[in-house]
Amino acid sequence: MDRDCRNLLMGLLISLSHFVATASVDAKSAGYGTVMASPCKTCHQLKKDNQNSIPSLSGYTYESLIDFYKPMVQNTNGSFTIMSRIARGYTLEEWTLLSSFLANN
Amino acid sequence: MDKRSSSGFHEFGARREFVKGAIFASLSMCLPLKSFAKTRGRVVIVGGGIGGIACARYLKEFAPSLTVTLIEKNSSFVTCPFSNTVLGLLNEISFITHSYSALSSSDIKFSNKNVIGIDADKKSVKCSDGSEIFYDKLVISPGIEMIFDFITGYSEKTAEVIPHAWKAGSQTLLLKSQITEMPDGGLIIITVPNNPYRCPPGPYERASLIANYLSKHKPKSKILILDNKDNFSKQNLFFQGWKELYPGLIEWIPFRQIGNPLNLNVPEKELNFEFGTFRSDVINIIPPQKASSLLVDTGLINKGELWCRADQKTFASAQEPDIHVIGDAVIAGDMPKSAFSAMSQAKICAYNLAAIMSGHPAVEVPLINTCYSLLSENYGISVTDVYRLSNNLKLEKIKGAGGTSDIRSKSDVRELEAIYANGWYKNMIADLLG
Repeated sequence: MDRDCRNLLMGLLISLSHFVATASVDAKSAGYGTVMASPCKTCHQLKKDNQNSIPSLSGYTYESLIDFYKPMVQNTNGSFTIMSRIARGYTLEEWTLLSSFLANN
Repeated sequence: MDKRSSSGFHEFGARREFVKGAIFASLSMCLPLKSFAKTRGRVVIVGGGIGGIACARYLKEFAPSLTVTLIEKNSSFVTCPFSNTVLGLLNEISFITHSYSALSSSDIKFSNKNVIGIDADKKSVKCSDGSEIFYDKLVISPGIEMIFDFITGYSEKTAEVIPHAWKAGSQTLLLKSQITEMPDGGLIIITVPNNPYRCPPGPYERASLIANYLSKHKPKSKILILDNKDNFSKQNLFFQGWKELYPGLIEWIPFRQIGNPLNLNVPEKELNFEFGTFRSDVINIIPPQKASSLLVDTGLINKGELWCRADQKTFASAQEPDIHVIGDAVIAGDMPKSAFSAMSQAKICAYNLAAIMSGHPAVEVPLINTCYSLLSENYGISVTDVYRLSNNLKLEKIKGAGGTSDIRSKSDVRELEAIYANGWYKNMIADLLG
């Protein structure tokens, strides 16, 4: 299998996974995501019109939320204050679940 | 955080993990974690503090058909978080005083009554006006009570002269007035109990913000902290901040140097300890604490213990499975008694109550505590931890996660954490009452 074909298949798999995740997430039924994300809401609002100094979690894509995980855990650029310490308490699987929920709410 | 696209994703080479995670997420969302929309029943919540309000709000979010009643003896909600900013004259008491009226928009019944007893057999709550409120599930979030007699001469009555100010409201205003009326060059003593107590870094934040006021208005004054322990939360960060912001203004004396408290002479404003006597212009005694006597009277606290034991997954009482206890009153493993802990416990308790009442199993998720402390209006520090149920069903800190602010951070980070502390408070109130 050549590289282009492999990349295409990988892309399709990612898209399919994301589609399934997105399709199955319903604000009223995704209970586990809701309760998992509930501590996040103590600091971060989920509203778009948030005026708070702590960033709102609204408007992020699933991929961009996933993107935060490794930099946060490693805090390579030193730009995270408390989130670096919190992110290290979550597995990538849990972070993925959180990202799916937050991207759809 | 930048609202980035996925362009950076491949840079850390987690494609395989991402795919695995995405599939996990897909499957997780399809697990039988169904809506609790049609779940019916009566949940009564006793205590309109942070834990009680959060539990009521999230119960209605998770299971909107439940009948949720919140019983609270006070007509307004004055938060302990940020009450130290009132003592430091950074905020007025109105800033930390909130109305319960917002709860009605969430279809939560607010009952402004004083609970005097619980009948677990009848599943009812008795109020001082003679009324009785029945429940299917009861959540108690009663907060703390002071142990006044830890030192001879101190009592609830004496606290009207020598304030503890560890419950926000009139006590906060009393201590504030004593601080502002004190002459320049005066001495303020703060006594601090041994662990566990509500808000472990709170006394040191209090000293910091009072020092902030004194440094501007009464610079010859001094604060003496008489501690009943030999180390405390965020100690090195506080020491660093005090040295930088208030050199020579705050002195901390640990237990090993003063020993146990013996007696208080109110007219003389004199405190006697095993190894020393201290006279002061203003005394702020923060007594040791225990769970509400309501829990003792209901038989929810073991003889000889001060706090309530509960299942740390659902917060169901060890004695009465239909009664759940959250917040400062409960033993929650490694979690400290803090506002954020109470909110985390309230949310998982609400979810699991809805699950149990819907015939679904309780779930387990990581719980968080985060605590910001202000040393001045633009100097903040923090501590955070993430907790999971261990094999012995105790909430334990996750190793490698959490911790305090970096001691090496510069002033820009301290300023940012002060901004975040304010943001946290505003958002917490919005989460509770917005």
